[in-house]
Amino acid sequence: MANRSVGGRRYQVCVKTNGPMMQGTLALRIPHRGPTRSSYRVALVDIFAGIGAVNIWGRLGWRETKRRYRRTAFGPFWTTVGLALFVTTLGFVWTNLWHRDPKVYLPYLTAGMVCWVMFSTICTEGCLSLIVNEQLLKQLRISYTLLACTNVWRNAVLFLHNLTIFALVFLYAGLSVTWATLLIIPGFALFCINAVWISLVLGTLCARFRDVQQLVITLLQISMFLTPIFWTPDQLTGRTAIVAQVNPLYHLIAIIRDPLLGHAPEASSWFALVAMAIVGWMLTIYMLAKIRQRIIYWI
Amino acid sequence: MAKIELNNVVADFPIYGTQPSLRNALFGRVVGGVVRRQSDSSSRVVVRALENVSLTVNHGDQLGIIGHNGAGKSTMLRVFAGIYEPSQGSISIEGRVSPLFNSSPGLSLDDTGYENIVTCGLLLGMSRDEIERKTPEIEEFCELNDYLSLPVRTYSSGMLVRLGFAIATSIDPEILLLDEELGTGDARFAARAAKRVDSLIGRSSIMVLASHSEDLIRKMCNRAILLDHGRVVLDGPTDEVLEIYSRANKDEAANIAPPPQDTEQTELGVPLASRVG
Repeated sequence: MANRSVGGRRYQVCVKTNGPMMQGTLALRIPHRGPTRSSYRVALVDIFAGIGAVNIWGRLGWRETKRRYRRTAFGPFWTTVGLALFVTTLGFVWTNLWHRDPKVYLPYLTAGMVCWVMFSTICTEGCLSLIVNEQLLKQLRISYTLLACTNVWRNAVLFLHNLTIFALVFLYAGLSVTWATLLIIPGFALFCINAVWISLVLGTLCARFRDVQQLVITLLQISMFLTPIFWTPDQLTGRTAIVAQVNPLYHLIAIIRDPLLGHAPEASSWFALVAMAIVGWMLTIYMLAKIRQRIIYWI
Repeated sequence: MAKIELNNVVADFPIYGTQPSLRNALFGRVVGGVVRRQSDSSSRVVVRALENVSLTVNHGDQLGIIGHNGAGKSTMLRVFAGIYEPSQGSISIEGRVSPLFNSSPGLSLDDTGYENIVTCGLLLGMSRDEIERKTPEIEEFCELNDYLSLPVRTYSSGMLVRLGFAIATSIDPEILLLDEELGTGDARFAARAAKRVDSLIGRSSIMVLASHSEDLIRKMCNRAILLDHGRVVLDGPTDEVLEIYSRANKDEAANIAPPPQDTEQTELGVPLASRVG
């Protein structure tokens, strides 16, 4: 018991990582009463070991995609087919309803939807990313960030599948590749940096509160209409115009959609994504430092 | 030098299914102090899986963990692996851990044996080259031959254990953690496994095996601990601990009629049907 009073506030955590697993040398003094320097260290190790294990999340995500092909002719392309139907139908109705030029509206709608599908799937699957990996998490001391990376990577691969629809629309509309198209690389990278922390936070919250996934699904449904995907931000005038600008989801979509359409994203989008990344990751580090130790008991 | 040190370790499992989750937390937040005092740890349902465990496992120890169902064996193994961090106390683990619990880490039933070797190997911290180099050795040890090209779904539970054991021991672990699953292998495999662990101990250091099978523990361990309700009741050389344990079991059985049947108890070589998948 004497040990406990000594250990109550003094932490001595030393984790020497050995690959993706956070093992090697591990010394933990518990209980945690709030984030301490050592628990911040554990959180950072989780993040860097997870992101660094490219070969592992690369393989896990890739295998999962491949499994979707198993015993089906089109595999994940079925999502693409569904999306294609959705986009053509909606595009047809709305170009007529709003009297818009299909060669302008259709690429906009398609690019926006492809990005939105990626984002919303990352969120909904991110909610489950820890829960469905219960088996794995109870066998190895492993980085939670690694699972978030797997989720984002898998959906990035699906995004490439879905991009085939955009390619068709691109040809139909006679768009051309410009220098601004290259901005998709930094744009996509910024998107992923944000997607990983979002997935990680949602996965952790869901492990504790199982309602969160339903909540996220509901919110995503509403935000699809609040975010300029079906409509363009310039359709809002006056006071309402701010709805688009303050919506972080708009910037998350725009940062990929704009280069796809051949023009550079607005400065505000770059700014918003960098700010989101900084604030988001700081929150994530704080969260992990505070509760990482308990997550495994929730799963 | 591998070493595991546990100091007054307590492991508590909070049980959440018994109460509304998010609503409860939100409600507690809104109402503030009054409710929180009641809804604090005092009323939260907690299962204490380990109670003040202090234990040092040293280089060269082949530790067997025995105890009734729910005595804390699996929790103990997971604490050794650094998976469950104790709620109180301190732990220190030195060395590369390789676990083999219900199945191999990252095992996917849809993938073939070879694909799983790569995935599990990567997760255990091997590089691609290392895995490639170790593959013949794994093939040789698990003796699954052509089955390795088939989806793991088609394997029997005994075959899965063989594959898992071959992978888990191929990485030259410093700390090898095995759950009772090993009991599903046949007698021949158990003998080979024991031999392999022996050679591992020569190279590396610690093996921990949690099992109901006294035979298996006797064959593979040189030290045993008896867990009861999350406490270490006995700690000593395998034979002594097993003797006391079986004598206690006999006494208990004599007192209660009819004798209780331990459903999880399995003889060596008899596969546990309920464990498949």
